[in-house]
Amino acid sequence: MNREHVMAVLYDMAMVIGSEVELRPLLKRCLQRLLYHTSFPVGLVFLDPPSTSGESVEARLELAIGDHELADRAGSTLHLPAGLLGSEPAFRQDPPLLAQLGGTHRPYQAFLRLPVDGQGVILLLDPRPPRGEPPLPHVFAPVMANLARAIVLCRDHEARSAGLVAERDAARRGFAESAGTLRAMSDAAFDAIIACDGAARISYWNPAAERVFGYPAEEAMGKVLHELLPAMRYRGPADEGFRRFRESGRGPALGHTLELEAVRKDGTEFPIELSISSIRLEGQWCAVGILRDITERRHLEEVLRRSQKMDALGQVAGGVAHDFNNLLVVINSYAELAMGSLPDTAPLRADLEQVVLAGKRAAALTRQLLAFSRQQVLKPVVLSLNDVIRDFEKMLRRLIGEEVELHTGLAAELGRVRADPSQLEQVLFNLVVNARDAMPSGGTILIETAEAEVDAGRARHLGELRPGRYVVLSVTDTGCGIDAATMSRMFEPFFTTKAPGKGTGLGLATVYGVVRQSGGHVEVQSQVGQGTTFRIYLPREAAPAEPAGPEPAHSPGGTETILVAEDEQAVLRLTERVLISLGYQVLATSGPAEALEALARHPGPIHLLFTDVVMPAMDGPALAERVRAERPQVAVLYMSGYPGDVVAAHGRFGPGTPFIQKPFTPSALARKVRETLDAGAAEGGRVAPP
Amino acid sequence: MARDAMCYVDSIDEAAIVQVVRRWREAHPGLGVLAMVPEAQAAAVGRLQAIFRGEQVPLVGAVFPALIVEQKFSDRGAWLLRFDEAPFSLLQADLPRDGDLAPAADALAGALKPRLDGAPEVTLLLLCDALFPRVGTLLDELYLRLQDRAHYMGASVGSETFKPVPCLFDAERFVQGGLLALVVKGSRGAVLEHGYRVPERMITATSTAGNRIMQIDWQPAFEVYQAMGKLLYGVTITRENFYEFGVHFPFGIVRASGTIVVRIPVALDDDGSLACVGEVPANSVLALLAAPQVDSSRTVETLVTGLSEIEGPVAGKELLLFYCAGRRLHLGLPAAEAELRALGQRSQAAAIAGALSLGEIGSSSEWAYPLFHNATLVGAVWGPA
Repeated sequence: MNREHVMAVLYDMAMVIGSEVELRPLLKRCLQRLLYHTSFPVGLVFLDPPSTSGESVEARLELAIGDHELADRAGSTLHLPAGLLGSEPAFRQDPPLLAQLGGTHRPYQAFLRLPVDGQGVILLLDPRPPRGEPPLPHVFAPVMANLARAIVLCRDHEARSAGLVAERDAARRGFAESAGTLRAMSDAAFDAIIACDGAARISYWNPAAERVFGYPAEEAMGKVLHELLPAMRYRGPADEGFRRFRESGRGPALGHTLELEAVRKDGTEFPIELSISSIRLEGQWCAVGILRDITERRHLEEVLRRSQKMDALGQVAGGVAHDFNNLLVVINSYAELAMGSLPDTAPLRADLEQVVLAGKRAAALTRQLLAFSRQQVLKPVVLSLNDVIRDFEKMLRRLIGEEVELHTGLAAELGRVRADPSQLEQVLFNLVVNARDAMPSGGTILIETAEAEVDAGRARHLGELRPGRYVVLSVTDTGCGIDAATMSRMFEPFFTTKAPGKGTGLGLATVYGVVRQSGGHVEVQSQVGQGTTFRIYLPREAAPAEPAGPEPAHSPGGTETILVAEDEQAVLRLTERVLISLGYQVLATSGPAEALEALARHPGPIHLLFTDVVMPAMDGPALAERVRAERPQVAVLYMSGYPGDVVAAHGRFGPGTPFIQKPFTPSALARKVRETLDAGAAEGGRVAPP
Repeated sequence: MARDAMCYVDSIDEAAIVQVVRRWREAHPGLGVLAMVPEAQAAAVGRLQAIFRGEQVPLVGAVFPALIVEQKFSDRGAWLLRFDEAPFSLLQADLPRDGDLAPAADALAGALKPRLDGAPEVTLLLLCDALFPRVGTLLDELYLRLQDRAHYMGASVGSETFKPVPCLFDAERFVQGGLLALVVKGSRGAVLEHGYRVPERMITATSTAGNRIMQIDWQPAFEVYQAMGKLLYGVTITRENFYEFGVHFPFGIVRASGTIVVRIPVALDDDGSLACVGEVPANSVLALLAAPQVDSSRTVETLVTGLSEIEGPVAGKELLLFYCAGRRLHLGLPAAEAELRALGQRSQAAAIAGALSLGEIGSSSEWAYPLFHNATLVGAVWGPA
């Protein structure tokens, strides 16, 4: 070989060495080129300096080409004769030495040893004696030096790469874990999370979004966000907003919480609360929206608003009813007294009868107002709703006439409820009358009972119930139905859709008040033209039903002394007159101070204090306390137009405290007074009658 | 003593071929056949396949530019070479022309390795489409994986015009762009010889891609090729006469062993790049070779001596021969056929079944590193040693 040939070979080897950055390809390609250039068929690469042990050395065989038995041992440490792996380049024909190579059955004749400058040794083997021009071992010395440096560089590179790969893998694992956590959080989110690119195309869609909108993720991805909004109202502004957002990353909706309507896959609209924020991904503005279906919240707000309105109306109605009651006590009582003092044939008697009738109607109206305002005195007992319906059914059939059919579907195993039976009858009556009036051309009314479990979600939705077991009374008609506007106001007192003179507007108000006062809830479902169902939920009562007691018919009197305290003069005078007419001694006073004075002045026994609950300066319970301090045996009977008073003073009354609701009739007063006096005498601690 | 394992039929005639096959099958019921067909007869490959399917005899084969029959080149008929037992064969179409060859090499080696393990002497006969430009790399990769489990020999096949045509077949398929690998048991390989010598003056292929040289010494390849031809050999090479001169002035990739690997330029592109048969590694140091005044007797002597060292005396044996088409172009038909006659006389072979090849695989001695060459003769004894 001339110089140019040598340079050509070295150039080729140098180019191969310089083109690899990883150890294995470097060694493979170098060895292949060495075999190519030298015509040796077998090449071995031992990496790292061999360790000498006597006549043999140990060296790690990194790569073998051309001898499959040795190639199979690549990666293992071979024990070799020391003469084979020297530190100097050599070409030798030495079959005996090569016979000690081991690991191969092939008898090699010659070898070319190329030390790799402290990084190992390359050994080329030939099973035949060398032919042609023998290789020059030192020719390759420069490229072996290059190879040594390349090995170091490759190892460094691979170590760094391994470090980087380890870091990258750790980062990927961390990212995957983080992404997994984020995805799990997103998947678990109650709110819909939607991401869009700058063109408003959906690029992320979490499971909540699937639930809210009804589109599976694969269908939603790529869809334009605006398709989820009602076209007429929002799409134009949304298009414009996204155009600006795409350019600047800004938009009027960013950073705010908006309430607007969205469209589900089935086309239904529903209210949403939407907050949008921007993120920058791969140089583009993207939007992330968190979206909540606020249908339920809107419903609860409506329930609350309606409840508050009904409470306010109840307060007003209750106040009016109270004032009317005071007047009606006087009117009705005096009318009854006047009638009682007239002979049956007196011409004035017929006039007074009309007064009494009108008074009774007025009293009925105020009772309904009080019922609506939940301020009437109920006499709740544990009863069977089925029994109430069965007892009342005949009357209801008469009420609805022949054009309307009445069916009942009463649950066989129905729990009890605690309610005032007469008020329940009133509720049933009002609902059936309304149903009848909704079917002027006839139809069907179905009265059903059932039990229902109201869970926390349902209770929250209804807004007025606690979770638990309920007895449900349903009245369904096939009438004209109720429109939304009427639905929103139908429980208001004096609201009616009936013709003037056909209804008081207090029927459903009464139903509402009675049911609410009984701890229940009224639910209405109606479809215009199809009919209406009222469902009354009443708490199920565990106690057995109680029999109702008979009402006494007469007006008993007595001779005891009664101290009366009432700041309403008309009521005071009436009460005084009624009690005197019943035979009692009456000390009539117009308030607590006067009553205490009378107490002090009256030396004789006082058997009963009959006092209004709410009075200026001192309320009834306080007066009773003062009186009892002086005369502990005095019995006490309270009167009030406010059952709310009773509630307010509940801490001072014990359960069963004698009480009479205004307006009362003389006969009712007579019975209550007698009952209170007798009860006090029975206890033995009260003043005995003279 | 001749084994009667080679049979030339002067036409792809069903009756003649069936007769041969049936005669062979009587002695060798498990036989298989390698067919060598000249490109002029490529259209008859389908008929050949049908005959062998009909006879239910395994067939593999290839299309060559021409056949060598009785020390002459022939574009008629077909050579039928018998395997006493049908060999394991692998016909792979459409090898990757670029990108990583390792997966293809893994697949080929994975299929071949179990057939090689345990065989005392076996040759891997590789016939490759000449238009697959990466035979050298594929050979390196196979040798890396299969090591010395086999001897390696083979040839590039196809059309001498280097037009893409189907050129590899078995009884069912006729494919191009691929490789036919045969595991020939009992064979101790081949000997390859070309007779070129390393010149003094070197040039560097500074830009290459596979078998294409774009730049030499940082200038358009053809310009340097022209200049070197003028400078070294006093010839004026033009675009017009390039196809005449190419075979006479091939490139040589210089090896440290003092030998060279020949690359014959066979195509000139408009941009001045030169396509060779076989890869030219980037930054290869090349020599522009003057085609040798071939000493045919020396070439033949080397070849026969090499074969004798491997197989013992070749007299009376049947030989398989691949003869480079470029060599025939360089020498001219009379000299090439004289070389064939010299081989016949020197070897005293019972028969030489040969074909004109477009590149050769082998080495100059047994167990040497196998390489892909141009301009060579590759010879092997056909049948067990």
